[in-house]
Amino acid sequence: MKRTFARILAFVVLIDLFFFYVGQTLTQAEQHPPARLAITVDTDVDTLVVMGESLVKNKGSCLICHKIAETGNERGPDLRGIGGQAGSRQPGVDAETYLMQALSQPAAFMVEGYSNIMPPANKPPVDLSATELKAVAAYLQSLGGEVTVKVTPEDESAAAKTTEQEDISPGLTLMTQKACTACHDFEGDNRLIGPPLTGIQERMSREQILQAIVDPDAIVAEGFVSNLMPKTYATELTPAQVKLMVDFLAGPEKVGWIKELWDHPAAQLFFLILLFNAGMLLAMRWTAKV
Amino acid sequence: MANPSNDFSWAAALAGVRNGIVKISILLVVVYAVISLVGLFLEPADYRQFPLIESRVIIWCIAQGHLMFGAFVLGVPIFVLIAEIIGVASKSEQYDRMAKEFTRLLAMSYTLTAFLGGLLLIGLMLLYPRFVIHMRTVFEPTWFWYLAIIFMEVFFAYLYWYSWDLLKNRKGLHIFIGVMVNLFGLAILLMTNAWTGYMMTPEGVEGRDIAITVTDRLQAFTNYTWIPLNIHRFIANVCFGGAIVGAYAAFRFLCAESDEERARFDWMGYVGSFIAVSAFIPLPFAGYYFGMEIYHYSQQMGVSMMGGSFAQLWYLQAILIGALFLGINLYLWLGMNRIPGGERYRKFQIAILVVIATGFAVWATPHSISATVAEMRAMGGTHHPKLGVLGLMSAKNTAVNMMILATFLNFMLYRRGNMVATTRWSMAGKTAQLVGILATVGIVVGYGIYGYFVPIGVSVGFSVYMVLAVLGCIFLFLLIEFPMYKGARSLGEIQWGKMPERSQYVLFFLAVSFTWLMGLMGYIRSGIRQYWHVYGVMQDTSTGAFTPTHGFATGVVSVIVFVFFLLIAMVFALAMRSERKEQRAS
Amino acid sequence: MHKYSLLLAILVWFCIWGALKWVNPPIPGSVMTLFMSIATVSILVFIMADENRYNSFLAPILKLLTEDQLFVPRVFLLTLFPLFMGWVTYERIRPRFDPPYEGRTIHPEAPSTFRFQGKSFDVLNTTNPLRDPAELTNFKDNLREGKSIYFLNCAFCHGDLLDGNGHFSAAFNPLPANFRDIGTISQLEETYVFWRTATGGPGLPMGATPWNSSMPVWQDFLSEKEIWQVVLYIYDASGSTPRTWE
Repeated sequence: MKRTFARILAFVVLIDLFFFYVGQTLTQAEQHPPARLAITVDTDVDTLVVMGESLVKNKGSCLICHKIAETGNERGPDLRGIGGQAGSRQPGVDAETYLMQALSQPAAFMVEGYSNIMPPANKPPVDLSATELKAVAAYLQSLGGEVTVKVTPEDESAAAKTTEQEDISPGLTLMTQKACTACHDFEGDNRLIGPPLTGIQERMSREQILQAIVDPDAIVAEGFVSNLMPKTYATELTPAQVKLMVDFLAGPEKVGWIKELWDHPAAQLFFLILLFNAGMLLAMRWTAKV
Repeated sequence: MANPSNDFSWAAALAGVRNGIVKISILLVVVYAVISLVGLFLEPADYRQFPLIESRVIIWCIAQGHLMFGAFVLGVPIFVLIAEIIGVASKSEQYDRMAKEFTRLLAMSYTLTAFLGGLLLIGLMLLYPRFVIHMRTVFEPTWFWYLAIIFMEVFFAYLYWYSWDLLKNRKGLHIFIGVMVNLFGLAILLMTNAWTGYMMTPEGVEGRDIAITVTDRLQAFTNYTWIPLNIHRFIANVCFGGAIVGAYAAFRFLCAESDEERARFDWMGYVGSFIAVSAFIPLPFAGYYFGMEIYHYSQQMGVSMMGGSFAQLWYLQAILIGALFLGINLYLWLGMNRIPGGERYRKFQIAILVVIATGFAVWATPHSISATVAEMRAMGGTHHPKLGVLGLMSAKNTAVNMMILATFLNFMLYRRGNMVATTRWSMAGKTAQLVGILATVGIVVGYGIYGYFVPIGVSVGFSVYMVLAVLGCIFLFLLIEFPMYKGARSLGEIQWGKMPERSQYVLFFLAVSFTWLMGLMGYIRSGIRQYWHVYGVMQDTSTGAFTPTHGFATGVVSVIVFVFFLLIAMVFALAMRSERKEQRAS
Repeated sequence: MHKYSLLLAILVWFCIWGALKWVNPPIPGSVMTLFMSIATVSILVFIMADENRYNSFLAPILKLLTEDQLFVPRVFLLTLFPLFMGWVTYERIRPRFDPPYEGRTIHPEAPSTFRFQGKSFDVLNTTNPLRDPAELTNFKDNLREGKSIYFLNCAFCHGDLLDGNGHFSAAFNPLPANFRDIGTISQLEETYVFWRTATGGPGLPMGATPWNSSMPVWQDFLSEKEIWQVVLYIYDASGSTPRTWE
């Protein structure tokens, strides 16, 4: 039997190797994912505009307050036609300078009817690099105007310094992507649209933080108005995502370990297993009697 | 595995079932403990690197191994149940015994499947935490259902096995348990396919990466490729299960010490290969449907599957399929030697072989021929004026349909082996069959040639007519065949066990090739997502996001197949041991 | 018959080999290997299918390997065989002046969009505008335009007859495409041909490596309309129809 086994094994290996060999005769090439979008001096205008659009929609989370279509938010000025208007908003300031200033020093000039709520785009939380700012400016110019923005070598070297500092905490990433960082300061004491969240774990419990996310107007921090923070997070986020955020804000859990243990999937799993096994034991007892 | 036959009592059977459940429970607890404990000591990260081997390759191997064993334990119960029902209906002890023999293989395989599943879970949680967060966001509510279903499946599967002898006189109840095994098996299939399908063709979510909002969980579950994946995998599971039990029978045949044993396992091997081949025939059509859905979801993905970097792997697939066809026919011919009267049909061998070999050659002729510059000069371009014709879809459809038809005919001849039709109209019947076959050949070849004279969009549609013609021909042939050979005169009993050893190696060849094919197609299916975890929604930003060379990929597939056969050998050995014990006890 | 199984097998093998060698133009080596492998396996399958055939096939081989009086031929064979294999290996690895084998994807996947003269071009959802019903009245004019563009730019490589046999064609590897071949443009959508024309050799994706197409980037020389016109012309003049998705 051992010999038969060895012969079969040898046969299996032989066939396996044959197909492996055929695989080796095919064209061999690796295919790598496209490089991350890098904005350089050589990036042409059209590409710059496309990249800027993506930044406005995603990383910049500008659309929380601005709109570029008929529907959208208007906490900040409507961006439709901004390219055409930029040159005439402030006397003596050309379109490019105006846009760059509006992005990095939003408080310097206020469009009438709007208040100073915009965080500087070149600082955290949005934290666009110098080249990314140029791309956004190019995109804004393309909305009704001619694109004159150009990326300079200085931008490039400035941008190179700020990259490679990505945070890996999924909670923070999520909150950045959901643009929580647009209204809340995470690193300092700045009172943006909403209260700063630095050191929040010392001021609020997990439950309070949770409530503040899903039902923001239940308790409003002193000095801030209600009805400003969207109430959609309870439905928009899944429980797992809310938990990520709470975990990030409140840090590791400490209190109520029995309840927490019960909430933990492991405990539920354990209970499920226990239930099954108990059922089996009971069934055995029963049949032994029958 | 405890032995059910030591004690013909329910207590012993339930103890066996309990052991199965306890085993799974312990496994789950251990998996959870490992994930939690190791997680405590690791820094939070998006990706983690497995020592020495790339994380992706580790996950790939474990997932494919899990999938193979999963396919086995989901596929086998389907035909075990059918065999049992046949056994009850025809009051044949033989079928019942075989069904039990197959089930014996399952018990051990469940443990291995669960073990690999546990490893996969650990691997994903620890090596791809960010991806797990994404999947959790979309599918967490289904996870507990999945666990519950797993428990039910294990419960019924072990009950099915351990109560085989106990319910000897209450077959209805036992078959009911078998149905439950299959129902829960199906539920497992549907659920896992929803996850895999979602990764390829995500729907029902908005946003990117982990910042996603589930707009419609049901839609995410029943995504584009869910149904085709279900159909494709269901059929393939049966096919794969058949091939593996065929290999088991071959193994037992080669180890057999008595003629009686040889006869038994020869028959079992025949049944196994028959199941595999019957399920193999509709598989390309299911695959075609699957491919269509991929195209409908994203042409880009479809094109990269058929025309881009993966195109060359279809060449390897063609070689595998051609080899399978040759192997199947060889097995049938060898089988005819044990049938008295089989020698009457030997004269058809050459014709059938020529059709298969030509079909194989056409099927494998690449569209993009690799040639040296000198050769290209001689050809007058990158296309060979004569071979170029064979590289096109039209020729390939014709070839594969002819191969299917020839194999079917070969099987019919095999079936007729020892029979002489006694019905009065048999001559007319055979003539009608011949006309039907010639007409089908005419349709298939005719459309194949006509395909060159119409725009390609039209000729792609011809494949449907070809398939319908072949299926119609098979149907009509059988419609005449069965009444024609009713009450046929026999030239003698089939001499089961009178098979040369090499026939059993053919069975092994089929099993290895099927497994290899599965590994290869699994790679293509997963690989066409390219650098996405979830196509278009979550990008893979790890170092292992690139598409490897075909040489590397086929290397991994070979290793997976080799390890799978080592594991399955263990299953075989345990099954043999359990049978010995049972025999000694009775 | 059974007696001569081995001999017949060898004979059939050489017959197939001869028949395939006889095909003109010669079949490339890689395909030849494939065909002969299939032939070899098929012949072996046929021999294995029958006990008598199998035994008589093996008998002379076993005899040669075991019988005492065949000592000389045995030694001869056992020396010759390794030498033969050695020669085959040597042939495969010895340095040559020919460029090596290049397994290539003739029609690599097109990107879903690409940049055409500064704007984004949607490959998947665009159709040839010159085939719009509104444009059909100008069909003849467009064809004539396309023809003149073709002969001013393309004919030098792709040939007067669109058969890939232009004056310069001999200098290139891979050779310029033969539009009359059923396997080239009639397998492709018009937008695909547009993409290949517009981006040329440099626009080919990595997935299709190794590619060293010397096709120029025509979007630098021709306008969008001109490319469509020439695409229209090559389909019309080669008598092929573009591929469409059902």
